[in-house]
Amino acid sequence: MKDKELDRQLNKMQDIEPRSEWVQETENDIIGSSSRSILSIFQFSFTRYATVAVLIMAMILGGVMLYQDNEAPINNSGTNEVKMDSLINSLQELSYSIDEMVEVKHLDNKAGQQVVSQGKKVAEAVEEVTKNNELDPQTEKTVASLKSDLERSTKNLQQKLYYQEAQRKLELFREQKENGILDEEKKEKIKEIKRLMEAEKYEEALLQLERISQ
Amino acid sequence: MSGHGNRVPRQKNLFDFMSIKKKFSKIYHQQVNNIYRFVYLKIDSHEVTEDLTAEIFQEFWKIFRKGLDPNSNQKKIKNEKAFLYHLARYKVADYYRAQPDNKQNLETDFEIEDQESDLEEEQHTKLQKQRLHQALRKIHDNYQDLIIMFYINELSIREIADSLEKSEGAVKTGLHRAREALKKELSSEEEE
Repeated sequence: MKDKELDRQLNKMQDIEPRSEWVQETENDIIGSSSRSILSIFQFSFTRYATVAVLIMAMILGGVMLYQDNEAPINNSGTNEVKMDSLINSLQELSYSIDEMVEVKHLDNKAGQQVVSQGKKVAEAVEEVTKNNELDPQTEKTVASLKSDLERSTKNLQQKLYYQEAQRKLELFREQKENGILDEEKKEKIKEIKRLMEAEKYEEALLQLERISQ
Repeated sequence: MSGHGNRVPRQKNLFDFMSIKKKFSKIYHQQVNNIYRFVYLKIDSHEVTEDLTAEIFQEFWKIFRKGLDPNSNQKKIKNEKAFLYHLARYKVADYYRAQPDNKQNLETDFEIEDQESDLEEEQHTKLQKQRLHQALRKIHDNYQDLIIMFYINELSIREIADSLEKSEGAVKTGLHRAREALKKELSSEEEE
């Protein structure tokens, strides 16, 4: 076969393409549309969304506790395998939901802290399940990776809450400064706090702001 | 510190999930056809190719999103395209490892439907594709990868080198050999 003819034939292979419905479905499966739809139902009302997230976490915690009550090793029981699958899916969905919560512009601090606290509890419960049950290596690896995803998502949410709260307090001090009622000592401290914010030490900045607010 | 005296510092470096999704979506739509084609030419079943390609992008998404998260230890993917091919090669290899007999089935599933109504030229093209696909699947795995990446999916030598973790010189030599092997396979099929 001549080179030109081979090139022509190889070029024709570019016609091979996936079904367009499959392309769209796969993208939705991967980057998730379910949690986004929850967000749109609640019209980005974070408090209500956080309530749903806490309920999901409570369900996961309930599922995790069921394992611990069950004496049979997870990999030896078909029912447990099904339960583990649904737990894995819920954990994945939960991380995504928390990641999306971080995107909400104005988070309700109280509701957010509730999600953070429940998220930590779920991660701890998952750790317990991994310790107390004989999971097959693949499941153990998946669960460990999902647990670390959940911890990371929760940490991100916590960071966002610290940042938001610190920013809110800084705004109050800015108003005081503009009205000429901020003393020199506090002005100096605010400068220091802003440096902490620049360095992304939001928790520390918030602690200092709370101290000078008292 | 910024020069804007009384301004509150802007939030920076927090996890930006929506923009990560947008970035992923862009890469996905740019690459999904190419990765699908790469897998299909090596697997030869649309059904299996759909499953494997979905798994490749799922794995890519997990690593991609972690790589862009400042709170994760995962390193950022340097070359997304090369990394996708890297994952695709492993996924195909895993698939064959799990089904050792599968590779012996070299019957292609290019559909030759409703032959009577098809124009003669279309039929001829389909047969040529079928023959080329069969020949491609008979040459060495690494040669297949090189042919698909360079001649069909049109990756650059640099991109192939990144994906295969080889030097550009080695890719060029490999491509020359792969092309010769394919030509040889096609000639022997013509003789048969």
